[in-house]
Amino acid sequence: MLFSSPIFLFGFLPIFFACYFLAPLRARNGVIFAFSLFFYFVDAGVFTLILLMSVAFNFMIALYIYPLEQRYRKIGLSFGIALNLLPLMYYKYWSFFLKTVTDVVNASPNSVHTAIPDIVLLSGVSFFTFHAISYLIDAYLHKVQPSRSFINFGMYMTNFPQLIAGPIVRYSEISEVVEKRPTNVKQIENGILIFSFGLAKKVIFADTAGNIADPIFAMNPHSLTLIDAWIGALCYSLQIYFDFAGYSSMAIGLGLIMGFNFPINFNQPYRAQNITEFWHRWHMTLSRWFRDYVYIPLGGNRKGASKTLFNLFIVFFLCGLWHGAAYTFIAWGIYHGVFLVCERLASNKFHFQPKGFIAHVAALVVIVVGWVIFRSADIVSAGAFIEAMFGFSGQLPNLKIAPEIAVLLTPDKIAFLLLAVLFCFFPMEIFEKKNWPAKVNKFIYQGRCIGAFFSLFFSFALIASNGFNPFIYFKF
Amino acid sequence: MKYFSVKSPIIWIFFIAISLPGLQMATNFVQDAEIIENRKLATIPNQDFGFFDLHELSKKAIPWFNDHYGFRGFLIRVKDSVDYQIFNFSSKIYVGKDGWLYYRSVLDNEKPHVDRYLSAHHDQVIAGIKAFSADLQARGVPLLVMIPPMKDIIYPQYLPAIERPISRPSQVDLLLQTLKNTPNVQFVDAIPPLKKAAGEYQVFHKTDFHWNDPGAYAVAQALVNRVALIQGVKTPVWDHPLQIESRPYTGGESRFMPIFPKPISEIGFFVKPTWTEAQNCNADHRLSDVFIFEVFCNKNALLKPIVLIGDSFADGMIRAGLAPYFQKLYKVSVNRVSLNRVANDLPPDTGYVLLEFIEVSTGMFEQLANYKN
Repeated sequence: MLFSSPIFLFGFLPIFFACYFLAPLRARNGVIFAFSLFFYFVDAGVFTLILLMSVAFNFMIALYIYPLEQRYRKIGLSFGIALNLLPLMYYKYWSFFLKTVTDVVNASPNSVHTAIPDIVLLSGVSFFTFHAISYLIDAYLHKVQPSRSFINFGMYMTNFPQLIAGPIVRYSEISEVVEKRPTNVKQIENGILIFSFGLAKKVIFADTAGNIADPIFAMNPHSLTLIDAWIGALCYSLQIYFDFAGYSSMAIGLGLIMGFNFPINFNQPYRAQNITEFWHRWHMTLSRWFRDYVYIPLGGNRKGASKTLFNLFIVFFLCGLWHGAAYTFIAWGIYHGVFLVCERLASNKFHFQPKGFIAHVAALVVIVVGWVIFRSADIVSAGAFIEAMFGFSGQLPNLKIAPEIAVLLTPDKIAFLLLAVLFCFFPMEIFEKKNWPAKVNKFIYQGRCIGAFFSLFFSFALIASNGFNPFIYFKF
Repeated sequence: MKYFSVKSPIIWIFFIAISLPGLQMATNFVQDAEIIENRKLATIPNQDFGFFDLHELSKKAIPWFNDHYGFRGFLIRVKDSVDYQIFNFSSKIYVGKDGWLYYRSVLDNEKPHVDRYLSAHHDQVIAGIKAFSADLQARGVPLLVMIPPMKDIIYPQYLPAIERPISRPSQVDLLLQTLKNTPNVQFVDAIPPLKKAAGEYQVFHKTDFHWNDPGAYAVAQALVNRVALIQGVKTPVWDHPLQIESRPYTGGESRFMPIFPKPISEIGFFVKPTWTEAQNCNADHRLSDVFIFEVFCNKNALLKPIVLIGDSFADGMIRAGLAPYFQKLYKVSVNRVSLNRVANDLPPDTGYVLLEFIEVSTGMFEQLANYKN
């Protein structure tokens, strides 16, 4: 169930909120757990059992290892992490692993044919695996007391706002409010506003950009003109940001309504003036997870410059792989890793950190080209697309827009895209300054409310219109 | 209950907003705006589902909910109204000058697609028409072919700038030219009578992609007089005058752009009957269980029976008084017929066959290209 689907907005949500707020406080976690399992079941069906098994297994392991001595705790943790990685490895990476082995062997004179099994991708497996691993590690480190209530822990692991697409929430970030969450009207209001803006990011900006980017990426990249390629790349850059950020905002908003303060996940990443800063603003909960559970355990920056750079490289290789089981995702991760390493080297050796307008433009170009690698069907297509972007396709740079692309650039889409660009770069933090006069703050708040509800209702209209599929002649 | 004392308009507005569609769906407490989509909406799953079928049930329930939730029509109209009022634009319709509407899918997709298809299959289509004609000739039945144009051909001056214009002469133009010179095929060009009539009155609807009945009248007249020539009857045979009546009309293109307060309408032009209608005879006649004819009879007519394989444009000609000129008019839908079977299973008294399909009928071009004797 997509957050932007009618069934979720007008079917699931009202029933959930009615049950949640009518339930006694002590029963609310059970309501979340039950509805979250149902939410998952609608898409995953019988595979919901795997999620339930993960909940049960991690609940027991954390309770078991917490009181142990450190060396036994470590063994228990290793076992727990390995078992958590099993469904991730199988459902997400096994087919890709077999394909990679086949590709490597076929690159040699001895070619083989291996049947690659068609394994269903378990919805949200990357996210709930990372939730579980962070919980076990935090329990191992005694950063968090394991939950003694299966329902409460199950609620944390399956909480539907962040189950499928994040943000990656650590148990320690919500442990204080798991058992006691009195209704807070201001928090609910804030959650509603954030949810409304999140829905607008997804439906108005991301889907609009996707309506242009998807057909361009479906075309033969060798046939793209320079302008077409840049339109596709820029639109995809907007699509992926607003899609992901929109989902995160909706999750954070729903969390606030329920009484949880989920961490923010995106902070206008396209304002970054270098790649290092980009990763402090993009998918922040994932960056933190890799920093705390991979980079630091590998030694971080404590074991010399070359080890630091190696650790960074490993982290970004894994980050790329986490996004998907394909060479393009790995290449994207390595691509960012290389730039990060270069920036770190420049900072260490020459005390140079890219800043300013030119650095900003350069960073954007690097990021946009990275998204082309991320989005392309394969490495060869990515290469051809990038060639088209920079006029290296062998033809004279063509500044015309192909008719099949021009037809997509309708007035409403252009208006929404311009607004999207504005929201990418406008410094939103000026609205959150604490030293504004009270009248200004009130005005800002009222503007925010009006903007949120206008966005909400227009998103509803857009969702309805996108589902309006008439035929000229009646289709039976 | 304490929740009803919450004095937060934000909370109330939000929860009412997300609850109203479900409430409307369950109780139908207000009349929602009507939306016509010309497709069968998803139906409520009604099988008996066991516990292990719950996933299947949820998968089937989702499309049903997405097609039927409350205020869906209202929300669609809101979006289309915003597009039209603010951007003078519709995602499904080109909004032309003076209230003329054109389907985007026809201009942006179907016409370019037909143009590409014919550029590669022109000769096969012509060969297929010739082969079909030969099969009919073997039964002593001449073939007439009519390919009505879309209204952008007759009224290009009202078109807005479109993104995928086809250069003229188009592949359809070239095909029509070839057909004019193809022996054993009686090509009835609809464009000249339409353009001539357009000088006197409007021949296409503004808000619908069909020609109007006066436009159909002009073409039907040309068709009848052409058949009379073939039969050797003194022309003109068509003898009933044109009387046009007007009334408000909302066409299909307008319904593709449902806006507030109501869809764009026009003053539509229709033909007032000035002839004696042919009678329906042997209605729902089945022939070889392949297709169903609608049959009109006028035993006093001069012209031999005609089998009219056509679409809704042909229906316009019938409304304009085509049928009474033929002793029988067998009408069959071009979208439901196999030309191979038609050649074998014609009514025994068939005098002529008219194959009529619009210029964006890719399916018929493909059928003709693949036609084998």
